[in-house]
Amino acid sequence: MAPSTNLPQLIDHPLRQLTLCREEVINQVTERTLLYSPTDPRSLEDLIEDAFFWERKRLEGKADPVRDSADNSFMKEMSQIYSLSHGRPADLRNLLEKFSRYHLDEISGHFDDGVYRLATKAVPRGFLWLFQALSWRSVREHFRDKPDLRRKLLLQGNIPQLQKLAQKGTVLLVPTHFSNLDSVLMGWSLYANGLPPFAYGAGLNLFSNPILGYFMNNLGAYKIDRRKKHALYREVLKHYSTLIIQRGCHSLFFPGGGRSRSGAIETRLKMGILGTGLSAYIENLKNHSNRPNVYIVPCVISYNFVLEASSLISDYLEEQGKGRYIATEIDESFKPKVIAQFFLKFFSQSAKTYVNFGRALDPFGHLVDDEGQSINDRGIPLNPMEFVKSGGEICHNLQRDTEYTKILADRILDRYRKENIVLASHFLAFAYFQLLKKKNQKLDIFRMMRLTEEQTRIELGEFLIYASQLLSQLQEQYRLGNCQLEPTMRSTEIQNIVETALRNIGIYHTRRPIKIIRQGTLSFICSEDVPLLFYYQNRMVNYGFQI
Amino acid sequence: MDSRFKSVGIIGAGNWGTALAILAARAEAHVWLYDRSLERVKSIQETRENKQYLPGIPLSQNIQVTNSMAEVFSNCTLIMPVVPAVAMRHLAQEMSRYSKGSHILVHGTKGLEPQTHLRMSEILAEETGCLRVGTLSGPNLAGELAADLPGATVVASRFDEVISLTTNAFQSSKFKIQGSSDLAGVEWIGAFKNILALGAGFCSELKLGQNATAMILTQGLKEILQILSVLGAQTHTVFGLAGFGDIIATSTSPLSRNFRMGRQLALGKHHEVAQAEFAMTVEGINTLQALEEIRIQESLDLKVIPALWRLAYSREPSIQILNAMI
Repeated sequence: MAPSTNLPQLIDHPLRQLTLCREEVINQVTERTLLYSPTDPRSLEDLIEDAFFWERKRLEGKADPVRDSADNSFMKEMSQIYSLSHGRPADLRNLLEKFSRYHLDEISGHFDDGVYRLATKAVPRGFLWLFQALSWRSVREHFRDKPDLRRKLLLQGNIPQLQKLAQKGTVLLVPTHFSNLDSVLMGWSLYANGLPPFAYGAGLNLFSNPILGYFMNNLGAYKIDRRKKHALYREVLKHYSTLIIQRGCHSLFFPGGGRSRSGAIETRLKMGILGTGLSAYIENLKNHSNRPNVYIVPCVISYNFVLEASSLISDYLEEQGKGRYIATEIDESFKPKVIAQFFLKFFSQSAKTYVNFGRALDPFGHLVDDEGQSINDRGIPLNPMEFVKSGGEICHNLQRDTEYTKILADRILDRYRKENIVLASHFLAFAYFQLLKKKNQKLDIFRMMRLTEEQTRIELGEFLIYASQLLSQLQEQYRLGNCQLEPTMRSTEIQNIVETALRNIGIYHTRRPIKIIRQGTLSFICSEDVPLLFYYQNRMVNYGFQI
Repeated sequence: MDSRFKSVGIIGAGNWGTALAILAARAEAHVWLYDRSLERVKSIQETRENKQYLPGIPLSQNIQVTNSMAEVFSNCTLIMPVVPAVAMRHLAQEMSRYSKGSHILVHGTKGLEPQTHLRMSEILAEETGCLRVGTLSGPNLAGELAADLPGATVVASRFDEVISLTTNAFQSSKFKIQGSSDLAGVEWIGAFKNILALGAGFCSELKLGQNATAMILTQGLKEILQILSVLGAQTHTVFGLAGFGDIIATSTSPLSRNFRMGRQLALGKHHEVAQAEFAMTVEGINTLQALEEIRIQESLDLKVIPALWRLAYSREPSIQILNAMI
């Protein structure tokens, strides 16, 4: 599929307009923040003091000296103004305005069509420059042709629907999140499908990386500083997101927050930015917009191997186990040599990565047909405008809208499970780990992590019988539409599935999560790294399969 | 403000639906009372009385009785389906032809859908697409409330505006409304408490006395709590008006259908035979089936619930059932 986005059209693109009208956007968001903030002085003081409290606490940690220096100066200045205000409402609102503008200065994204041109041409072929860390000869030995991203990254699902809805309204793409590379893959996936650039809600940490940061700063990404915990920051962020959606900017953000540390598909979502789709929809209706509709599109990424898996699962186990598990892995995902080696394996091995675009939803969680019409579970058309009427009038209603967003979140999670493409590697990891757990019932999860390779050995014949039973359950769920399967997984030949899985699972990692060894006439399945095995098996934990 | 704000549409002119219409009318709401039976509608229109289900209680003039669902949906924002649990899905499918996202659906049915075990609000949301749904449930014996005796009820929904709209439509000096955000919990306990009334009726017919009745009901309540815990309900709802309050009303009142059914079952009648003698559905029988299925699925070790199930479905002698319970 050839991308059809013409660069000249980008001049009028909403994302570029945001950059051109940056000051206007900041003014509008600031006005909105003031409009929706409390009016009584005591509540205003609470809001401002909450900001002081959380920011002081964060800045005492001194995690980021460069950025924190600016924040420190700002907080000092605000403290002085606050101490002189003596609770006067006008002064408090002035403070609120200063806070909003300061945060927005950091949050607001920037879009440069020259950089976009570079990125869209560079990503599919440009990984070669990352291989400077390796010898050119070793690269040539692996490749006869230039690496082709389209053969490795399979884009599937409701793509025609997504393309259509992007013309009819504003799309919020909400992918699952496993790796820092997700942003790059999603960006390229959208481009490859002929979609215009999306605004990204990206964690501030991504901007500090010299490679990613350059692109993020110039491709419409807006910054989310997860370290900032105060309510005012969250309100400013929400109003920014609402405004850009209202202005027709398709947006992408990861509603699970950060990367899944356990390797499992998200089971809980953060509501804040997710609710801005509904806020924007209501504003569009009130302003009689000719393109009021907002569509939420869940998307599931399925990796055979995740670059940061070792450090992520280590973090997860340490957090869960407290003193019972000591993390030893350091996240090295941003080192160029690490990335280069990763992509070398990515292109040279047979493993594929899937990006599955799910069925679109409206802001209330109803499915949407290909024409953008909301429908109920029985396929009966619904008018989404009716859901935001209270007392006969279209209006915001905080409690009502919060509940709607929770319903939407539940529906997204349901779509994640149903649209997830189960890979052979995930299945193998799950089946093996579950059998290992059965055989070690006296051990809790932390003790299991310390099993040696020898202790993890299970005779292959026994494992295959167990895995076959599990495969039947999985294929039944596939037939019922409760999950997707990669093509290999639709076969009943368990041996083929295991062989495919072994070729693909965690092939980047030095220690293999699963391998087969022979001892005499017998073969055994075992693991060199049980935490990694645990990471990959977690992909399937929330389906309720068991023997 | 929308003029339909203090209008209520009640779907189902059975004894509880009619009682609700009377209560809303007393709170000065404008009421549309719908029934699918044109004959019943005409009879009520002519006599201003529901002779079949609530004889002797007159309907005031602000209750409009109709056979047109379209009329109800176009005139009311708050709609209350009040039909047996087994009929709710079919009704919801019909309602979906008229309902919009702005409608607020608050059902008055205590029961679960057979086989699926879905709650009524889940069925309403599934079939109509409406999201602002709720339930009205509590110690509400229809005859007493229709006769203008004081009472209270719980309106449960995850949406505050559902609670406030329903409260506005029904609250009066003699009928008080409590709000709750635990929709699932109120629906479950509303359904499950019916089986305790069955048990109470069983004990009453066998003249076991208050001690035995209390023992069996307490054990039954404990088992219901176990099941609610497995389902993920907020167990504190059990001890409120919609739980404990309703248990007291239905388990101690000879007016309760479930109580009377328990008595019939104690006499050795099969539930289908006993049901035929009631003009109205006895929800406890279907709920027993749902509870027994959940018990088996979750491998719960219980006494009262399986014993009551055998009482209703297996024709075992009452003395054997009693021995299993105690």
